[in-house]
Amino acid sequence: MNSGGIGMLVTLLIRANRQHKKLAAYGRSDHYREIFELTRLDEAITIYDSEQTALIGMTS
Amino acid sequence: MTERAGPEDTAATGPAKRSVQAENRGPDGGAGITPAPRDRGRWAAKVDRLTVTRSGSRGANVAGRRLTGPVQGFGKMWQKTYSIEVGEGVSTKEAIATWKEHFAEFWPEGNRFEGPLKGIHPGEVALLDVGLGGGMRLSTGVFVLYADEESFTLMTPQGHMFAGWITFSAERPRDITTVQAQVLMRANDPIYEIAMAIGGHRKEDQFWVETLTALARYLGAPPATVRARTVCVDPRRQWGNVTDVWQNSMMRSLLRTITAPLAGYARRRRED
Repeated sequence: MNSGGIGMLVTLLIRANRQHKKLAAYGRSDHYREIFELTRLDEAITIYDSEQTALIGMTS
Repeated sequence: MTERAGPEDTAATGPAKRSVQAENRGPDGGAGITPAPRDRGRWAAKVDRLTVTRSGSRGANVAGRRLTGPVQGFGKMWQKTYSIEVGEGVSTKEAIATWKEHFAEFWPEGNRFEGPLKGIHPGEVALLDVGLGGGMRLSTGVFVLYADEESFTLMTPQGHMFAGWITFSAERPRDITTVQAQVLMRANDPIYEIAMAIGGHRKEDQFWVETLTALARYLGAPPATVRARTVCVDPRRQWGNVTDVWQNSMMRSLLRTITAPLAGYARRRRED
């Protein structure tokens, strides 16, 4: 992923927010977690370890 | 030409799509075992706060600041894309290598970019002075977030005019290379939001048009027009970030200029 990819994620985030939906990510490697933290995307897109924990986290 | 479109009419362009697709392919090009990230080393390592290694007061608005992306910031979110054709004889890699190496030379007169000592590499910090008109100057900086052979991205610190990133890239969709600067940003605080609305956006458009024109001229391209496209990605303002105004580098620079004689006088008194 290059930096254009994180721009696409921001666009997706805005669309989700407009529809009062949350955006989450799961299954990311440490490398991508670091990119989310560096770009501070992790403050808006919660990162979960697995699909299961994401579903629990999103519905709670 | 500047085009303004609605919130739905936006998408990241350029090499992003190719890279996202490539990431999902296995080593043989098909679906399979996920390879180690090929982009490792192109991204900066995580930093909590910026450090400035150069001495002097120029980095005062950068040292210790956090990075801010378009998720942070206060104002409406904008995506601004500027592009120009640079001809058939220049490859995408040559165009980006030239842009990185001579980045400061393409800036319009009255602005100053003090590039990183090691050049534009991930994790480096550059200092800059931007002329705001009326003799006012914004001293701030940028962080090199990402860099590869066909693109690089700068991210802004707290106090900068906007929270976001600027991606510089080159593409060759037909047999003509095109270079592009794409800004994804929100004004960092209410003062900047007002400043952007009353001329800041126009000034920024002019800034990147002049920059791209200078780059194209340097690359020996025939005269061409810069295409500009502005999209409002999110018309809402983030009032929760209104207190970021305390970090405003323009106000801090102004205060520092006004109080410099007093500070000098106090220092002399102490020395006596």
